[in-house]
Amino acid sequence: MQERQIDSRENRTDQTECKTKTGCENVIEIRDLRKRYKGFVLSVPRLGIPKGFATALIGENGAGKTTLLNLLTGIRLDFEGEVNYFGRRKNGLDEGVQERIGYTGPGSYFLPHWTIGQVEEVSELLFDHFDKKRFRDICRELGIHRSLTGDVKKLSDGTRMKLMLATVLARDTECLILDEPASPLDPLMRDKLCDMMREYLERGAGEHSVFFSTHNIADMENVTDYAIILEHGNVVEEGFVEDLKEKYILVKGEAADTQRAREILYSMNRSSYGFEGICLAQDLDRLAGMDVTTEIPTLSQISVAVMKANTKLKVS
Amino acid sequence: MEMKRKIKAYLVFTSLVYRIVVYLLVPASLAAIAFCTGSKLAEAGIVIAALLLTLAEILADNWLFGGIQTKDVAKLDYLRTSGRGMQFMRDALALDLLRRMLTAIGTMAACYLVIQIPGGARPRGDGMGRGTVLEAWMGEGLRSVQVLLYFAFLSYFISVLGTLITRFGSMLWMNMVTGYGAVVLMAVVMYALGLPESVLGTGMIFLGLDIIVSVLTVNTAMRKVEGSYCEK
Amino acid sequence: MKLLQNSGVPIYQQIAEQIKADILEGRLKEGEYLPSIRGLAKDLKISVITTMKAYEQLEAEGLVTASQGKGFYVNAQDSQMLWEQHLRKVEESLMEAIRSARIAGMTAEELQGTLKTLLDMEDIQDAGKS
Repeated sequence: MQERQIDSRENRTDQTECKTKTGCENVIEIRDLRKRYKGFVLSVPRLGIPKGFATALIGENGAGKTTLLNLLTGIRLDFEGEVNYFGRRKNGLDEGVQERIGYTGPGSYFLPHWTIGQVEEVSELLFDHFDKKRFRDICRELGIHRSLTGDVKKLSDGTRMKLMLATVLARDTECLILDEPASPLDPLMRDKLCDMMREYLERGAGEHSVFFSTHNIADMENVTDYAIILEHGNVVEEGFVEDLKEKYILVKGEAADTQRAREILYSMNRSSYGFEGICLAQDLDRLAGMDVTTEIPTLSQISVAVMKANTKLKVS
Repeated sequence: MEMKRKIKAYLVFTSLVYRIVVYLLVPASLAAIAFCTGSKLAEAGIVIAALLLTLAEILADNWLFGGIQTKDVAKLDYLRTSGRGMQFMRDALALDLLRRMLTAIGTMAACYLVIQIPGGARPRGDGMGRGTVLEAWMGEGLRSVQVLLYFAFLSYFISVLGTLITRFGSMLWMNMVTGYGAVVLMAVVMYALGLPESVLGTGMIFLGLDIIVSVLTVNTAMRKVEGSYCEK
Repeated sequence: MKLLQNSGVPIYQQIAEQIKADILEGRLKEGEYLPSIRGLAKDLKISVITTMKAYEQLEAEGLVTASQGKGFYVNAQDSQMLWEQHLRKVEESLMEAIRSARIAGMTAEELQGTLKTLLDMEDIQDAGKS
């Protein structure tokens, strides 16, 4: 099924035009970032992570999400381009910046033989503002039993995620960068994760920001302020969620109009009963004369539509 | 204060198994071996302990930082999110070598002491007692200290050299082969040199080699760690 | 505050409407500060940008004012302006009804009759309540 290719750059919500007063400052600013891989190139000419908000990084597997987060947190260092943190003129990471950023990542994060007690001791050594008491409180709150004496490598993925969250939340940071925090968590914990993120934002009163990647868009929708959609190493859409919800519109119509609507819709699901799809709000008048109903789309509907329009996968 | 932090970092980085092995198991078992062999043949106690120490250190390196050194270095994400993580890593690697040197000296000294226990305080030069055999071979006082240091420096040199090699690979068998190879090499060196006339001078040469191989080993490991910031 | 996820009315608008009602009905007094944007987002379990948009709408309507670093406070409400706002709302709703009536082919008399019937029913209901 041929989707209408839309020049994403043209349609992107203009970054310089700030619809919200407080959303103009960026906590991280990327310029001309390039990172070559065997299969593809991650290329971000310009990107800002808004300060004081939760920003979601959305995209297919292999779109470059983890790579981007790794480059921002100093897990990987080989890339071209400029990254500025916290509004500083200076390019790149240093100890002072790292002190203000908390990162949780997938896979091997802690040394495998560490016990929870060792994680606590190491954290105290690695960071100036690690609050042991807060760490213990969060562990208790998340149901991580400190009596667990086994190695970190023997913990379940969910527990390890919780432990990572505890270590970053026990510090005085201004920006959290979380790589797939929701994936290993159960629905209850995902809800808790959202609460913790909102609490973190509230505690900072505009000075705290969260940047996280996720596949679980629906679960994280109610904590996402800004969304960045990455496909094949390129940012194909970004904007404040409320703006995206005005830019795109969910259209449902009758089977008879399917052919005509396909020309206009960004992406479409069809059945013998009718179609459903996302279209740009500005194109809505082109649907005039068809029997359609419109709805405000959810972020996951928008994301899926944008991803479908940009993917190289054959999905219909 | 800074040193205290570094030592603490070293201690919490290393795995519990490793600590038990290198602080307790190895020195205690070597002292026991020295006691058993030394009661029959005093000098053999020292030589065997020095050889086995070399082997033990090379094998134990597998557990240092939970095997991080020999397996993959991509487990350091948490350390990397801290500006000082890598410095702590380097310090920990260096401190571990310092620890290895102290273990070598301590183990040699412990072996020397336990060998003398059965004889108790022995009269000098009666030509028959265990203590006298030991003394005839090692001398006493300052001379015996020099001999012990010589063995410690030699063992350290061979074991760090072996570690430098094993850290290039990740296979346990490679570790084993290198370990045994190191023992053979050390045996050859000891056979060739015997107990040198100038035990102090030879010891100093080995100490020099020890320093060189230590710097090389720490730098190689750190290059590997830093390289993993970039590959793929 | 009650929020409906799938009502078709955007969440930010629901928030704005409810705060507006609180202001117009005097539950939020002049000079009083609204809850902080991020605090309200946390309490309502919604994103910060949604509450921010709600507050900005209230600000655009002149009901509240943003003060640098301290949040949004309730403006003095001009009773004439309030009355006009209500009137505009009534007009809007009636226009909507008129449009629907045209589509249904109702005459002006029929529409007026319907309005009268509805008003009477409302009166009866109110009488029943009291």
